[in-house]
Amino acid sequence: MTANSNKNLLIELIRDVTNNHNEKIDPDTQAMSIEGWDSLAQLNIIFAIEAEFNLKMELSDIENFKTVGDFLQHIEKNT
Amino acid sequence: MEKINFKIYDPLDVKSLLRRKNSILSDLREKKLNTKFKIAILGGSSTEDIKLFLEIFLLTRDIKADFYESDFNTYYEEAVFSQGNLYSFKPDIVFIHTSLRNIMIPSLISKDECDILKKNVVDRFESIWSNIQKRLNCTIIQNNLEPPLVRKFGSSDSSNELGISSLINYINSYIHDHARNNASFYVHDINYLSSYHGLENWHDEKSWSIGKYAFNYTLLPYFSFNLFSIIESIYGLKKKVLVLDLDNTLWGGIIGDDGLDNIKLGPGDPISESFSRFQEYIKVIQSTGVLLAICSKNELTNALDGLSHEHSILKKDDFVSIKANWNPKSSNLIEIAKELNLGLDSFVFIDDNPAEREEVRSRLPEISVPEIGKDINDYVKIINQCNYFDRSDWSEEDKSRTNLYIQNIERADELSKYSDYQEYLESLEMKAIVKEFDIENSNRIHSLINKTNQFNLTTRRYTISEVNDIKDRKDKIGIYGKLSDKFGDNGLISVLAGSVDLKNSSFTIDIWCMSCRVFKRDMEFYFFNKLVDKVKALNLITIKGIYIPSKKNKVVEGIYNSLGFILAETNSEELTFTLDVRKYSLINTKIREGNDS
Repeated sequence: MTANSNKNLLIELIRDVTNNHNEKIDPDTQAMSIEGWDSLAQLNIIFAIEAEFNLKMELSDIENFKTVGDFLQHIEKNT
Repeated sequence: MEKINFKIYDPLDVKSLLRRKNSILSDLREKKLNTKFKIAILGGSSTEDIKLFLEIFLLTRDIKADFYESDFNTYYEEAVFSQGNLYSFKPDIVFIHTSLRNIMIPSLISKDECDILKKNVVDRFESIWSNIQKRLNCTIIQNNLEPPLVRKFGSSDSSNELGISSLINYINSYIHDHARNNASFYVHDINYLSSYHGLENWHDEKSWSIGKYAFNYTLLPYFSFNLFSIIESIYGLKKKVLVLDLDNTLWGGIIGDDGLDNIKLGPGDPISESFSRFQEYIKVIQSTGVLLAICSKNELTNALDGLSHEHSILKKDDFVSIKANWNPKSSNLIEIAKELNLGLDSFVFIDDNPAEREEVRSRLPEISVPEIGKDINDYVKIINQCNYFDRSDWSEEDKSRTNLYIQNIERADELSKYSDYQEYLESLEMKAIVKEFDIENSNRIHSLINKTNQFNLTTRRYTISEVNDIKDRKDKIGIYGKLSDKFGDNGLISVLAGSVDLKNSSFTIDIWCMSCRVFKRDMEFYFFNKLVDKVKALNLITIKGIYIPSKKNKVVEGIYNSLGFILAETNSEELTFTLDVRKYSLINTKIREGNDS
């Protein structure tokens, strides 16, 4: 799995869950600034990432995540 | 839109639902629908997405509901101390979302302490139920409790009085008893749901700490789907007919090719036994009042041979209709629906052949056709999880349902002997009873009002308390009708209720419904004659009838005209008709007055 395809999968996943198909989203985007990304969407995104990439995310992992790239990095490290 | 329905359930597509819930919901909200009812959710934990998924499921069945959610964990305060807006919202359904998270389990304890704790919990529930019931007259649905993750005493946790499991079992029996004794109280069984999905999976700290959800967030679609099934059941929207293929569905092999002796069914080998277990399951479903039918590409003689197989649990007489021929399955299904006078949306069709499933699905999207997979051993699990036959509404009457339909088949045979329809009606020797509402029949009246969708002029629904209220009020009239004939007793099959307006000397029909089992017997005319008698006895002059068109009640759009009413008013939602009873002449029918035994 290339880094680029992980990135695309993640962004597509975020777009689905937040129902946000227009805004520009890239690794530098602040997660909480994405329209539709609230704490509930965050929960949903975490579970979707776990299912999509077959990995576990602990609360302590997420605590310091700020950008989409932080999530991506976690995925890269664990797949 | 029907395509979406199939993708969401049959069985549930949890992955898509979790991922695309918002876009699915906004697509479904495009449907132009009038609000059917109001649902208040009182949460002991988060309810936001419980509501969202419930709204999705209801919309797939063209039901638009308005929702109210209590503030976080204030279910007790809202119900008992009227905090928030629960009571001004006036819901038709209150869903109380409690769970183990709402029960404080201190590290007790003596037996006395334990008894006090139990009493506190059930007293709180009692006061919630009685306050809501007193002030709203509505349906209440409440979760029971899920088993705990941690067992205080290990394996003896259920048998030890001080155990957590023991406490939960006590509270659950209390809730279940309450449901048995209260027709408008239903249990949402999360005890089963959590066990089905596994407690390890159900109890999820991440969902609690981030979202304040009482259980694993990814199980939410299942949770709301189960809740939705109860609501469908209450409103008579569950499936009524299970139509089955034969070869490789009810037995292994192809009877026309392999011969009766070589089909796989009964003890002996694992595959034959699997088909037997599947038949056992179908028999269980039937016993709850679901009608069975056959739709198979086969010679009729072969089909009947198979059903007479020594190990076939299902026999010819278990089916209200058997179609074994070479016509397209969709055509046969349409015929069965006509014979039974039931809508296609109350049908489930099971077939092992994906091509047949697709043929039916594409031509008759109203029918539920589950993806049952390739392995006979999965059929039961998959069909069961589709919740087609949730019978939260089950009543004694359902026991005899198959018989009632078999009597109708005998009537159809009788009809074929006559060329004149009136002669046929005469031959039935019909007897009817029409009476005012009484307490003995109030449960049946209530369920008929809430479940009848075809012969139903307004599709308005009453709660059980509203039904009981009518007989005590001078300004209301409520009558019911029973019909029997030489083939059997159809029981209570028609209800009409409305309000008297003395000032204008008029009576307005608020609800009028009749079971589809007795269509075309002129019972509606006999029944209406009786109403006119009652209205005249009160010295009233006018009867007002309202027709609110729905997707399903086209069959009655002309009834007021045929009774001599005149269209008085029409707007986008309803048509109002009026009748001067002084000009009404009683309509002749072949029905005689019966005695109530």
